[in-house]
Amino acid sequence: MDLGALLQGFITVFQPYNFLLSIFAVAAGILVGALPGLTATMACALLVPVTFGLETVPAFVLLLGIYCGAIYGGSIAGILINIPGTPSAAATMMDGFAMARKGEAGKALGMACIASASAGLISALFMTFASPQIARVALKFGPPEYFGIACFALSVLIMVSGKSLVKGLIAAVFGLALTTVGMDPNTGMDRFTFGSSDLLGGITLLPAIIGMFAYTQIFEDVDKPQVQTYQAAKVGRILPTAKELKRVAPVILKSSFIGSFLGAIPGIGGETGCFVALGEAKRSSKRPERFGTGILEGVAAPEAGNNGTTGGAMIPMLSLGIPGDAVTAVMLGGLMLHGLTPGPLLFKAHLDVVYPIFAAMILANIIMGIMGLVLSKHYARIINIKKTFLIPAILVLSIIGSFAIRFSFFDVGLALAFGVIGYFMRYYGYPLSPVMIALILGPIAEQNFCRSLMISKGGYDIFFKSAICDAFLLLAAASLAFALYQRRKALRAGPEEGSGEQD
Amino acid sequence: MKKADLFVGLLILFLSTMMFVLTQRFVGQAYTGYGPDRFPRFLALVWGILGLSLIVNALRGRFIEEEMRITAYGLKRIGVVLAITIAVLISMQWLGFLLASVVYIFLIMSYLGERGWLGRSAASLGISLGVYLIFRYVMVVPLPECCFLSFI
Repeated sequence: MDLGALLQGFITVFQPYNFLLSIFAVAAGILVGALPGLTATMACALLVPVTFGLETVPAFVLLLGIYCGAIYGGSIAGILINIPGTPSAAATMMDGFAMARKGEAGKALGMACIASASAGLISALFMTFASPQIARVALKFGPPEYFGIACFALSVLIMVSGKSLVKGLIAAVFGLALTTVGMDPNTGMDRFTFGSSDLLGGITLLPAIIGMFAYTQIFEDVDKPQVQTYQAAKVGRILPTAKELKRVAPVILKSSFIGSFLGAIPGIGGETGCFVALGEAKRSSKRPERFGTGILEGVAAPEAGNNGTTGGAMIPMLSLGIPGDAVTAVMLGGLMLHGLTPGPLLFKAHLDVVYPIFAAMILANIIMGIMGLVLSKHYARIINIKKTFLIPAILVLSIIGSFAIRFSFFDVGLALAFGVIGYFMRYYGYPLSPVMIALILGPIAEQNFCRSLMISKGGYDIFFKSAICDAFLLLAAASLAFALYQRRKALRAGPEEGSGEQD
Repeated sequence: MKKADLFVGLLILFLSTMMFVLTQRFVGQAYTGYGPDRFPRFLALVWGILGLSLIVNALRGRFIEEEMRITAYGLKRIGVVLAITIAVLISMQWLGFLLASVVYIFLIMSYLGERGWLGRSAASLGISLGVYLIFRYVMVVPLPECCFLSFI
């Protein structure tokens, strides 16, 4: 790691403009996360077009601030009204809301903030030290290795997505099928364009993401008889005592490492991180039966777990060009829109961008910790904002966001279509993240497959000559087999008629 | 959810068959022997198998009951929002972004049940103007302008 470049990165993000932007972004991120139904992915997807007019570093200061803030902000709604602001806060609300009912909402918010900031910081440091090393190794990767990594990422994504393996697979294949629209990377022939010049370049990523994550959510909110408003619990003392902090510190530390490690595996997001961290905290606790009754460990573990994934998820995105989760998929799109290609070459050619990104992530977590503790009481109030005001604002941002990519109304229509598809998919239990990540991984897999064949002059043995490619392909097969085994086990454990797991 | 799974399974079977059939048109081939039809054809096959397994699972009673259900009322509400959106998008080319979005926000707020002229007017004007100024002048995005202004 280049310490000089890191220092330069800090100097860049501490420039008044970037620093203020980071404060604004974290505040906005917490606000977005705290509002039920608004997710970090949605906020980042809507903000990527806004970053067009910005330089690359400020753009990422903005996106990273939103990302870190929103992941923590999700816990505010979970603790105060028992509705997770973001999916990754689902585990936090079990103990968090139980604490709120005992009159300790403030302490739960304080603990969530401390755990989130500590985990975010640890994972940001993990990212800062690990990414350059991985990028250095990845420089030696050729097309077969990238093909192997893409296959592995896809298999992990399918393994952890949703309740049904079949539905996860269907969603992923749908995403992959969408990547075949447009010009074939090998021969230049157009596929599934039906004569439309708008489709020649393929499905534009950002309108698809805006459709899947913004419109889908809006449609879900709109289809209720009354647009909901919530009543938050009262917030009391925020800071936990020194004794409580000392007791919970090992849980935070362990969960942060779990989150960081899990986040670095492509396809695993905060949702998995928080549940795995909570499970581990429960398993290693002397009194596991107390979890769920409103204890600080039950808030700290999942919060550290989900914020720990933030830095981890950035590692494969920056060093390999493979998104760690849906939010980093959006950020990858953002990097590409700024003319940069994520991957190991980024660490060779654009150190002036990479190290400020590291510094921005570290800064965002520090700001989030301070802001969360100071402003928790005020954030509790914004939960009461009427959705009748929010929905139209998000709709307008979605329209302009999808239009601004290519100044095309076709893209706005595309986003709307994806919104409708996403709405039905979500209702029928099909996960959305695999579609989006497959949209990014599909071209990586196909292009590198074609390039490999070009190198080998058509011989498929090239995929068996590289140990790294073999290892990733084996891992991909193993993770799929493991997922199948788990579903079978769940089925044997006692499927109920009409409600069993699919296999 | 059984009916839904059956329907989706059949839909996927249909779409994957269509996809497979359409790949027959992709006739070019690189010197590696890997043509533009290979990847989509492979995906069509996998998708078809998955659609079939969804149908088989549904028929065998192996499906997950989802907690949420689509209602006719919900679909109607989404339909209205979509119709307003499409109408505004079409008119945006003549009205321009600013005017169209003011009307759009006002209409959506009214449909969602927001009452009070002042609140709706202030919100629709404020949001539209804010978004317009940011995208038009800070991000320099060429937004559609009102065509009637060119006559003035």
